Amino acid sequence: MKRITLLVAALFMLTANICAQDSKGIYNKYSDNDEVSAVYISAAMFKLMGKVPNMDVGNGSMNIGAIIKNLDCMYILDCDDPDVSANIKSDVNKYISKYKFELLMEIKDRGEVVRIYTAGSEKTVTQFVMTAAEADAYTLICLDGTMSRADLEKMIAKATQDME
Amino acid sequence: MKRLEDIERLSALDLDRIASDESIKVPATLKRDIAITARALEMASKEEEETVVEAKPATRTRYRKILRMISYPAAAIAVITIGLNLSFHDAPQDTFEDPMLAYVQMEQVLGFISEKMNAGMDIANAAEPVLEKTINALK
Repeated sequence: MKRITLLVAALFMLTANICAQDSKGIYNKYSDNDEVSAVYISAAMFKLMGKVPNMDVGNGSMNIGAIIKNLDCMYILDCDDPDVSANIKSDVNKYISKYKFELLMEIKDRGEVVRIYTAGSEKTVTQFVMTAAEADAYTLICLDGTMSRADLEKMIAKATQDME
Repeated sequence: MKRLEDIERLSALDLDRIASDESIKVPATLKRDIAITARALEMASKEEEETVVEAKPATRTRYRKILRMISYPAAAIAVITIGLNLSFHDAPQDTFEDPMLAYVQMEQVLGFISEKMNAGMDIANAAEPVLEKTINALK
């Protein structure tokens, strides 16, 4: 009986550990922290957003409909506290190394390290993760869903043009 | 000697007549032979019963082993499923209630991503002439 209890406890801990090491688990862990700014957009909200017409934001107009209709959720964590940032960074690194993420781009510019990772196949992206780490700040952006790689690239290129 | 089919065809009267015919001798060992055959049949059926009874525990043990083998992974799967279910039910709450605000946030995020990517592309583009020069020098 004791063995069974231990086994059940171990399995629960294992499950909890597995959950804590995905994007949602990381978001849940830090979103209530006072030092962290958190944004979550659900699949239901993305569906509602699909009905919103194109808007002019900042320097130009962007059609993000092609991407958002296929998104399941988006998590953003932004932190300026060095200790909390270090903890988030450590959890994200564990998450990245555990799953089959491909490093798409790494930019080191003036003390900031930006890394962009994607997971999925040659044609589709199921997860897009971007991390921006500074000396005492950390930003995590996670997009989950089934996005066409071509659509994602096109949209980012369009966003780049609009910003110029 | 009569064949079995011939005997079956005989009527009750015929059978009575044959039975009362004292000219036919009954073998002296018939009674003993019948008793031996009956005893042998009884023993054979008993042995068969015992074999079945003995075989039952072996089958039961095998079933128990299989059941035990299945029950552990099944219990593990059940615990993991419950754990994952509990975790999935713990979905975060939407930050925005208005889709317009969520849309604006999404555009800002995509703008931020493209800005960072653009910075990377600028660095790569700046390095391109140096890279070309090096490749040409190596040629």
